[in-house]
Amino acid sequence: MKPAQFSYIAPETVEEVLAALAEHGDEAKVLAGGQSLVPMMNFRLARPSVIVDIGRLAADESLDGISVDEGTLRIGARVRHRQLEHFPANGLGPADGPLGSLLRGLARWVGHLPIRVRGTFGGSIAHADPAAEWCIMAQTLGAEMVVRSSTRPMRIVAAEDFFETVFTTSLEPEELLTEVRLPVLGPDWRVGFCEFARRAGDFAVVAALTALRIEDGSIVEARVGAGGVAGTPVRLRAAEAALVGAIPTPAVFHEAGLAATGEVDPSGDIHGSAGYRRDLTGVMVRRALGAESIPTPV
Amino acid sequence: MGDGISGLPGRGKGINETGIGHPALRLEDPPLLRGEGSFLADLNFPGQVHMRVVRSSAACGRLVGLDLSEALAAPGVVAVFTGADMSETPLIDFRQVGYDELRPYLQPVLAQDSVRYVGEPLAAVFAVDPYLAEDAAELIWPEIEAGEAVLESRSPLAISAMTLRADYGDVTAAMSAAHRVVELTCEVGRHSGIPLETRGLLAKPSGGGLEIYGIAKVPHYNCATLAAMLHLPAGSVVGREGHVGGGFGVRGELYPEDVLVAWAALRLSRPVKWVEDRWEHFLAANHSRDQVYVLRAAVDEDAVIQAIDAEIFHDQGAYVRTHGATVPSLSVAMLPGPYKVPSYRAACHIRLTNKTPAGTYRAPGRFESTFARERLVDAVAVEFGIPPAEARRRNLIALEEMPFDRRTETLGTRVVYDSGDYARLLGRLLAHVDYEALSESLSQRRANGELVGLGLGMFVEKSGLGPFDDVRVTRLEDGTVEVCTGAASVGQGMETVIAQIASEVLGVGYSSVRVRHGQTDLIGRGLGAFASRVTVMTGVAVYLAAKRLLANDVTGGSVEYTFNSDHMTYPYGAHAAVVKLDPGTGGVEIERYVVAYDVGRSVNPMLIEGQIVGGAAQGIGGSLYEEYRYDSDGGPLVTSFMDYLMPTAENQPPVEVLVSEDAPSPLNPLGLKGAGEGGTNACGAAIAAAVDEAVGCPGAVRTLPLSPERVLSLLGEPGSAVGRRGASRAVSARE
Ligand SMILES: Cc1cc2nc3c(=O)[nH]c(=O)nc-3n(C[C@H](O)[C@H](O)[C@H](O)COP(=O)(O)OP(=O)(O)OC[C@H]3O[C@@H](n4cnc5c(N)ncnc54)[C@H](O)[C@@H]3O)c2cc1C
Repeated sequence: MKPAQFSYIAPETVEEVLAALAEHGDEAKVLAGGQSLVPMMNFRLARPSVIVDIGRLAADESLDGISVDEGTLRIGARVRHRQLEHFPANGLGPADGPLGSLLRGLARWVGHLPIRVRGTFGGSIAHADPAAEWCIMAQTLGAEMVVRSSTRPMRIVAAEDFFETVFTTSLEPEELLTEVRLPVLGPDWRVGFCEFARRAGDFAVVAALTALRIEDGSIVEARVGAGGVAGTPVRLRAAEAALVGAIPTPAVFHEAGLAATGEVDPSGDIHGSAGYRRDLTGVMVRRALGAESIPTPV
Repeated sequence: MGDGISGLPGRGKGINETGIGHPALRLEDPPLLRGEGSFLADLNFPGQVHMRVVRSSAACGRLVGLDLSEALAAPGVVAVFTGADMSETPLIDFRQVGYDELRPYLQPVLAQDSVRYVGEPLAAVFAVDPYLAEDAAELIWPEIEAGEAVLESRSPLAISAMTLRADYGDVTAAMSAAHRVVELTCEVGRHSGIPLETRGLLAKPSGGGLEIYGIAKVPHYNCATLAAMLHLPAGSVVGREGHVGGGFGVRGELYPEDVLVAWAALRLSRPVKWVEDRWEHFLAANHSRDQVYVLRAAVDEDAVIQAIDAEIFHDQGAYVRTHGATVPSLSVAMLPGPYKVPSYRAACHIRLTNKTPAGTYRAPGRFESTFARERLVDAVAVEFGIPPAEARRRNLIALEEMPFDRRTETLGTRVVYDSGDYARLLGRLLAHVDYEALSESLSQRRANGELVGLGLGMFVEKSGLGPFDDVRVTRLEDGTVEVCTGAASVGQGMETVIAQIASEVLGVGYSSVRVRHGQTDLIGRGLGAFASRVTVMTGVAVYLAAKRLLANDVTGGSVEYTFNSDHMTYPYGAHAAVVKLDPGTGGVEIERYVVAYDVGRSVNPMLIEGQIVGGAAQGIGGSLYEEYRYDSDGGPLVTSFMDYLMPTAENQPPVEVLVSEDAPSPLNPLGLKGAGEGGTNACGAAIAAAVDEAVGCPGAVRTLPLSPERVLSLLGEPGSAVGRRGASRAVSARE
């Protein structure tokens, strides 16, 4: 459990990072919080020959900021889980609302305290674990990833095109994820989340995130997503269809749960068989829909 | 600190300087808290090389070739050795409970021409740093012709090495005379001890022999055995125990890697160091548990068990290691537990499979047999429609029957319960939880739709294994006292306990007692630390030596003393668990956990509580979370802490501990019994019973660990509380 040999560079500017990535291509890996990359290197599951540490860059508004701009929330890739956990209530000003409570609430579900202190939002998105809370959120709410490189113009990739399969995204080796954009959710949105893990701090066996826009007492827009049930986080369209147009009641949530169970096709592993995960998806969706607030772990 | 010296002098004012019975703070703690601990990985010697073991990736097969050329040419590599280099080195022998029938299955240090489990050592690379050693080890691709792996102890393909038996009374007659015969099959999954500090060893050539660091648990035995295996003069392999980060039965046995390190140090004439990584620990350190019980009980009309007939299958894994038949032997001897059981017959089949070899783990053979026996008693309670506590009361051995000859044998001794008032302890536990009221409130909650339940588990433990313990107690010129012992510290607090006992007799503060242990050149022989033996054996030896020293009344005097004991002492206990199940996920929440334990006489109540709480964490782990699993080719599915789930502080319920001193042991002048394993023993039993009650389906739980998926499938059964409510199969409907 000692990593294979690698060389380490710690650029001081984003341009130097991009240059290094362009030079070394798929030999290189960006090091952010190191909470996923370093264990993988120790297991020799990842063996980059060059590590490009973005932790030494000078503070940078795009990489480190959290801001709202015309209905869009921007989260810099280097923002740590812990910063989101402690993001002040109303920190987004009038835009805070349901999205603010979702960010603060979900952060608590990411690993353990020491991991949240070091791990980054962008690192989680780039790592693309299908059960990661931030990836589920990005997929469900339709996030956009801002990607830079020295060889191409900046591009913006929609979540559904970004996550390809387990630990695999459409990021090219020379690209750096700098920012993630999320649509601000107005006060008419109601968000919910539910996760089951064997122990507090573990990756979810299955987790579900829901967002409903309610007008005059009925659901006019629904977003339902889950993690732990496929190679990427998934949108659950059948569950969404069961919700739109309905009045939010336990019976409707129950139907949406059944629809979710029916539309996922997970594979099993040591923490739960395919059938168990399928059943669990329905339970998580139903509970997320019924939740009064974002639950805290334990 | 490698000397195992208590934190001298250093206790501040206001801290108890006391003898027996006081919750004195641990003498071991100051260096550990200051970060001055000296664990194996902290040690380095000039010129040392690092070992990396190349392991089999196949569970079963013929080793056809090992191409070493690339590895030998890799940077920093000093040597690579294979089975061919070590064909003269003997197999690793039993340390205890050996039988000739098991001899063919002893493990070679390096595989010769066949492999039997994933993780089996095939070759070892020695390089100037651990990174280079690991790089070079990757360049060796063993060529293995894979065979078919056997992964079930009950499979007809599993090698049947031998069958251990116990037999007393007339089981056949009892069965035919029985009012009812209650039958049960149940199994305990494979899991084991996971010390915070992984294994490791450092051997340094010294004057024709070796100095060994990283040695733990049984230093004298390991050094003597290494000397014999390596054809060195007795006494020329010297053990230097440092701090040890947990043992639990696993750490400190003599493993193939240990022999490799010592052998290579001689061969290379350089210090050789090996620190196991966690991946290796999961693959190569002893596994444990993994037993299947097929039980039948003959029960009379009063719900009294007249006979138990047991067939047990023990999955030993690929080889038999130092523990020989220790675990199955304990299973057989301790299965009847605290109950009268006038007739008993057991056959335990030791089967070899293609899994990592198994050995002891905290409460070996008891965690398993207690689970099985208590499931059986619960089944009797159901059969007769009486509360579980009542079924136990009717079967417990009475105070007047003590000492009670169990009529079984294990670890070279006959099992004779020395003392105990089992009914009183059960009464204490039930009173503490207010059994009637608690049962009533749980049944109320069940009526309201909650899935909650209470479970009990009772057991007899064993401790204080002899046959001897030597100590030397010396009063030094400055008034302090030195105790030399061949026992060992695996972090359990033995220095504190031994110092308290010396302090009690000699009237010096316990921090003025320096306890030296695990240094094989300081004392001629020693048995080490296992089987909850140290407080009893070493403690009593120190007590008697100190008394003699006092009688001699000389300053600067020294007394050597040997305490002999042919019989173990038998502490006992009872656990209670209250659980709540999540009907949607199958998750089990432990709402309450209580351990009542009679220790005979408590030297340090705080340490006993610590042992029980820590032991319970491990028992809860084995009951709910921890399990070594394999794919159908024998590939391990558990290779990291992502897969092997240990309870964390967040999962561990507060454990309520009731320590009593009702039954001091008549076998030693202090009345001592051990406390190392009682917290673990009945966790499986109590949690299973509680889950049963919560599911609403008596006897539902047959298998540990109770993963959420397993619990959910119990809830899906027609007889369960949920099933009875007529819910549809879809889990979504279950609330
Ligand atoms: C015990 C444990 C439990 C955990 N539990 C959870 C959990 O419950 N939920 C959860 O979501 N996560 C969990 N994690 C993972 C944690 O959240 C990580 O922090 C996160 O997945 C990766 O972020 P990082 O900043 O540490 O990235 P790193 O580990 O540094 O990098 C991860 C990957 O992303 C790439 N990368 C990082 N930043 C960028 C960038 N800006 N542009 C391009 N590529 C980039 C790296 O090259 C690497 O491939 C856990 C981790 C541990 C060790």
